[in-house]
Amino acid sequence: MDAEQEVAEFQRVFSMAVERVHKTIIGQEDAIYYTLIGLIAGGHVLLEGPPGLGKTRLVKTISRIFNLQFSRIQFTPDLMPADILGTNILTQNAQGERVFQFQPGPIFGNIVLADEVNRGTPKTQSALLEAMEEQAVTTQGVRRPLPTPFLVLATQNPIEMEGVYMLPEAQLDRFMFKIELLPPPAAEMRFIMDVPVRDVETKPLFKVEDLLALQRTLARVPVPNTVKDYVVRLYRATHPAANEAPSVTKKFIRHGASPRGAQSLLIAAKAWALLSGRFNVATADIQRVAPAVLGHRVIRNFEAEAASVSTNDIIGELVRSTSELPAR
Amino acid sequence: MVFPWESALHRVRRRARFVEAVALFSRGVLIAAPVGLLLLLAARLSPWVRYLAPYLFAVGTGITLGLFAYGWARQRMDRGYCAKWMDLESGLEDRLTSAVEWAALPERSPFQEKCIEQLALGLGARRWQLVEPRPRLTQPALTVLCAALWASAAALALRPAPRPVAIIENNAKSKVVMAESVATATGKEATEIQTQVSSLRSQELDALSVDLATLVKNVGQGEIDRETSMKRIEALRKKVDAVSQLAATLKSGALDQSPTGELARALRSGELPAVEKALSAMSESMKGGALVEEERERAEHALDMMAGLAETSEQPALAGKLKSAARRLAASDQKGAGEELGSAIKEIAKLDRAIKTLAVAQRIDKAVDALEDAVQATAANPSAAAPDRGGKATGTDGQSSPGGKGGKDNAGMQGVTEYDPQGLSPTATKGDDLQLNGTWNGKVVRQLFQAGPGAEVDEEAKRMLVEHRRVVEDRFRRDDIPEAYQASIRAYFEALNQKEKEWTQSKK
Repeated sequence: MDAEQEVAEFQRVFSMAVERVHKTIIGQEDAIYYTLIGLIAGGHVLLEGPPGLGKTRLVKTISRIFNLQFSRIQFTPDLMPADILGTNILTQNAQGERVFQFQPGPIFGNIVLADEVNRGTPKTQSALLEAMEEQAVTTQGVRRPLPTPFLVLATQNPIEMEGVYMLPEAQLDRFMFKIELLPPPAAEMRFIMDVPVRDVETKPLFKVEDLLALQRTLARVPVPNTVKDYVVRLYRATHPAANEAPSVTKKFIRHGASPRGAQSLLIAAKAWALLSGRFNVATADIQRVAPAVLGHRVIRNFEAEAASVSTNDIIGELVRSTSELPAR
Repeated sequence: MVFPWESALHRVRRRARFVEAVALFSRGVLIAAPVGLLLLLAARLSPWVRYLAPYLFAVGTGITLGLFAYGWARQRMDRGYCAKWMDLESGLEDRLTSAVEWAALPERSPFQEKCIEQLALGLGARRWQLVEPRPRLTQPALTVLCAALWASAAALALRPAPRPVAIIENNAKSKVVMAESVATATGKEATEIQTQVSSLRSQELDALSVDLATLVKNVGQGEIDRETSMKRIEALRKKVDAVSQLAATLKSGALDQSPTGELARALRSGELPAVEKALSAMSESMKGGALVEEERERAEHALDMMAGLAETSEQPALAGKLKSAARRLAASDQKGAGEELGSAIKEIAKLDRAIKTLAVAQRIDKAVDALEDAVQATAANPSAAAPDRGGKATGTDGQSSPGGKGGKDNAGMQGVTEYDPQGLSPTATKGDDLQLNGTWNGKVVRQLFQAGPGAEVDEEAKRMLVEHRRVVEDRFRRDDIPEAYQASIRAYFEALNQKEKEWTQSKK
């Protein structure tokens, strides 16, 4: 399969998946696209929004489309790390001997839905986030790799403040995207009325191998140096201590994005390039994915919060003020 | 392989290069223009700045042109930059940037190959069009204005300084008013010449002397302007030259061409009238046959000797007559010898008259020269015309000031109070420039400036100071030194004069 066919296949699979998701989810384009891109790019996604917007349904639908092993963890304050990772239990083998046997936790799945992750204790959250990063679980000194593909889709409810443990900034950085789901507009609500409340059984469209092929295609998309330079400039622009930081950064940002954020920008941009039918990544792709990638990585200061300046506003301003032309 | 975007990319780069060069040039010229105007202003005030201005302007021009060249050579906009620029203008979503970058790679991945191919095909099929960005000049009008200002200032600074219009030209229509003493002296000279001429009974010399007297009177009484004076002086000089030539012809050019001739020397030394007188007496005696033998032999010997002198002086007619007289005397034909001698005396009288005419013509010529000097001096410097320094200065239209101090002529020229013609020869304002004997070197200047009161100063330095001052004053009078520099030069010599006074006081 040559490059052109690979791109066409990528577009075909992606569009079919989106189309299928739309049968159960009305609207929420960004959430659908970024969740699928996260799945293909191997990046974890944090969905944030009030209950009832279809977060869980979205994740379930995507896992069914790609015939992936789906597991769900409902975070509660009494959830323990072992409940996620798995534990060794004492069992009797065929010879009648009692031995410890590892019982995998729900994290051993292709798609793990960490529902209301901010309700879990920091200890439990850390266990999950560590596994996300390591792509493996280590218990009793034994390292157990997680299945491939592995994607954690976490949801968190921003409206409740009692009994929740907000994810710290360092742990937020491990999510490739943070998508805010907004209440659907009136026009979409009309269609949502017709969608059954219960989950509709979705038949698998693709195999896991298809997903892995998409991942390989994504990895082969080249990035020109000018775009890499642009990513670097944008990354530097988020740091208030940098000389080249624009005034909005110095005024409203307390902490800038991490290098992992810059890498995530490029990976996500590759997916958009393929979806646009291009063989190269453009700065436009970077600009398109910047709010989703950098939104949770740029930490506002008190002045921004007091002035109700959102991170999306700041990222938008950064994108506008960062020159696409390389430095002379 | 030549890609379809290469030519467009090359054009954009060239334009960008030019704009970059102009931008740097613009920066330089924006600074240079006001500096140039300030330099011009300063050059009007300070002779040092005026002296240095051409070099400074040359350096400034070099720097601005150097900035242009540096901007051209620096080429900050590389291929990637220009490709990205074209990408943005053409809406190619970094296809061109990627293609330009990857086309230079020795090995390309399938995606990179496809990207280049996709762009080339798209451009060929006119799916996309390359829009060439137009790099814009920053502040072109201001740059042009500043460059024009700089160029004008440089041209003004670099052009040769125009020689100031001669003062005589400025004052051409003003009446000449000479100092009374000068008028008296020139009038007296004209009268003496008239008296001398009357004895010669020469019509040409009479006319010349009358013209000279009339001109002296007109000038002395301020009746004619300077231009008319100069024209009449010139006309008079031409007439004098004509008479001089005539007299010289009469005197025979051979007289001057035989400098060793005894007769020539006798004629020059004024012995000729005495000779003529003696010969006349001898001729009368011969005609009366009163010469005794001994006197006859002496006369014969004298005539032979004089004939020899005349031959040596290349006066063949005179020599022939003297020889003939000698021969007749030898033949005891005293009467015939006396007649021959009378003819010879007439030849001598002719020579004598020619010589006198020439002398008077030369005197008139000198008088005309002096008159011209006086007229010029009243124009160049009123006090300069007064031969008796400290007397009344000459000026024009009665605006002269007594004592030769200050005062303006009617051309608005300030009389130069410190001007002192002492030591200047009468020919200083005319004829060859005064020359310096010696070099005004650093050693001399150091002696003059660094020696305190009572210190030993080389006599050579003192002599050179006096000599240089004389020459500089001569240059002032000839307008060789532009007016703008004169004050500085005078101040310089004033400083040296001060030193000179200090030496004198210390000696006392």
